[in-house]
Amino acid sequence: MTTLADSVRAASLRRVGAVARLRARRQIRSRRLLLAALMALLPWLAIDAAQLLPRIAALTEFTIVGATVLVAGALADDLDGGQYAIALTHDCLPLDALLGELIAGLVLSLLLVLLGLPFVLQAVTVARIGALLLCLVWLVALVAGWVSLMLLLATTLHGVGNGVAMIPLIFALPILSSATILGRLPAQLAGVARFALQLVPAPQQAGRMYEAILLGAAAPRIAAYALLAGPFVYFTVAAARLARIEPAGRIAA
Amino acid sequence: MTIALRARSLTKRYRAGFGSAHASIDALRGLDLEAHEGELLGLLGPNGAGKSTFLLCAAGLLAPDGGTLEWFGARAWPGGRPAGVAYVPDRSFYHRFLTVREALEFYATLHDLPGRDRAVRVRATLARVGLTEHADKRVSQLSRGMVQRLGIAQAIIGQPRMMLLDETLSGLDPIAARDARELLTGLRAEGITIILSSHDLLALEQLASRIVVMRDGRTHATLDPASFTGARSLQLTVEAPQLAARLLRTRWPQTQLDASEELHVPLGAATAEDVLADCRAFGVVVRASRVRRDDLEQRFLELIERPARVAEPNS
Repeated sequence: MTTLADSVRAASLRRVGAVARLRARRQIRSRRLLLAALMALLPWLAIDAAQLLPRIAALTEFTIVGATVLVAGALADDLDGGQYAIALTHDCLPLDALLGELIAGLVLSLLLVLLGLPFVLQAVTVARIGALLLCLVWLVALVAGWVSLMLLLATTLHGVGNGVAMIPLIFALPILSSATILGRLPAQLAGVARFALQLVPAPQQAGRMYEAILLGAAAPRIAAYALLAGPFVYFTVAAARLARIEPAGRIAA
Repeated sequence: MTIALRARSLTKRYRAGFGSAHASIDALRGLDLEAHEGELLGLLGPNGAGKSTFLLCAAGLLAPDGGTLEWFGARAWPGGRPAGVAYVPDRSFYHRFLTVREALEFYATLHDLPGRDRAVRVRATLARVGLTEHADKRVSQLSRGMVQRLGIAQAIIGQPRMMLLDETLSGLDPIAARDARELLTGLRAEGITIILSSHDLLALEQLASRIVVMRDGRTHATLDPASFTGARSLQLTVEAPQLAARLLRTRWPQTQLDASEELHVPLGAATAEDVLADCRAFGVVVRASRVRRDDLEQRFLELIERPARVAEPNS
C-alpha cells in the first residue's frame, strides 16, 4: 500500500543526469549553444586591452550574456509545455528536475568560459596563474548564482521571461549602483539600496573581487558573501517554490 | 472489491487575472467518484464538465482545493504524488526534438532503470504499441495517432497500476482507433485500472465496465453498458397526442405517451416507415419523428438534455 512516506523519495543521480542530458541536447539541437558561443566569442574581436584584469572582466561579461541565452526558458518551457508534468508522473521529483537544469546550465556556461579562456591566457604570465585561478573561482560562483537566480525566476515567469528579466541586471545594475542615483536618496535609504544591490549576483560583483586579487584593492565582503552564498540561497528558494507549484498548473484551464 | 481511486467532494477552482480582470472558474464542484481495481471506467460529459481537471488531480498534477483523493487506499497530496499512476494527456506533452526511442529511454531512466533493463523495456514497449518502425522519428514528425500511441507507451513504460487517459481515442483514424481499443483491452486484462475520458461513445460502450457521466464538475450519473439493450423505438411528436396514442395502440400495443406528450413506439423488427404509414392511415398528424436506440448516445443525451438535478453551490 502506498503511503505518503513512499511518495517522498530521495533525489536520484540517474534522474538528475537524465534531465541534465536532455536539456543539454535540446540546447545543442536548437542551436542555442551555437548562438551563445558566438555571443561569448565575437566580442573578443573588439578587445584590445593586454592586461589580465580587463580581459577576465570581459570574459565574465561575455560568459554571463551567453549563459543568459542558454538558460533562458530552462524549466519554464517544460512547465508551460507539460513536459515537466509528464516527467513527474515518471517518479521524477521537482528536485531532480531542478538539479538537472542547474547542472546543464552550469556545464554549458562553463563550456563558454573554456572557449574564452585562450583570449585571457594571452595576458597571463606564469607568475599570475594562481591569481587567474582565484579569479576563475569567483567567475564560477557568479555563473552558479546567475543560473540559480534564472531558475528561481522560471518558477514565476513563463517562457523565456527569466532570460528577459536578467537583462536589466547586466545593464541597469551599474547605473542603479552609481553615486548619481544613490546620491539622490536619503542617506539611510541609499545605504539599504546599496546593500541590497550588492546581494544580487552580477558581473560587477565578480569585478570587485578580481580587483582585490589582481590590484590588491580591499575585498568587498558583502560582494564576496553574496557570490558564495547566492547559488545556494537562490537554488534553495527555487526548490522550495517548485515543490509548491502544481506540476500541471500552467497547462490546465 | 478493492477501490483503486476514490474521490470525495472534490473541488477545484481556476483563478486568472488581477484586479477587475480577475476571473475564476469552478472546474470541479464536489465530485464523488470511485474506480474499482482492474476496471476500465469511462468518463463522459460535455466540454467543460471537468473531466480533464479531474484526471489531472487524479494524476497528482493538480492539487484540489477541497475534498479528498485516495489511490489504493492512500493519500498523496500535499507533499507528494501517487505512486504507480500514469497519465496520458490529450495533447503532445513530450519533448518534440527527441526521437520516439529517445523519449521512451528518457522516461525509462526517470524510473531509475539501469541501462540494460532500460533498453529491453523500451524495445518491448515500442513493439507493444506498434511504434517499432517509427522509433527513430522525431516526436515533432508524428501524426496524431502516433502521438497517442507514444502517450500510451510512455504511460506503460513505468508498469503502472493505474492509467488515466484524457481523450486518447479522439481524432484517430478507424484503424488506429481499433488498435488503441485493443491495446486498452489488453492492458485491462493485465489488471491495470484504467480511467478513460472520451467522446468516442462507441469505444466507451465497448470498453468500459462503468461509465460516469460528468456535468458541471460533478458526477451526474453512472451508467452500466451491459444494461444497454440496443432496442430501437420511434419517437413521435404529433397533434392530439392522447387520441393518437389510443389509435396507434390498436396496431402497436406497446406505444407509450411520456410526460412531454411525445409518443414512443417500440419498433422491434419493424421499420419507422411502417409506423408512419399507420399514422397516415389513422389521420395522425406527425410534426416530427426520430428513431432512437437504447445505447450510450441515447442515454447520454437524455441525461444531459435533462435539467441538472443538483442545486448550485453557494460560491
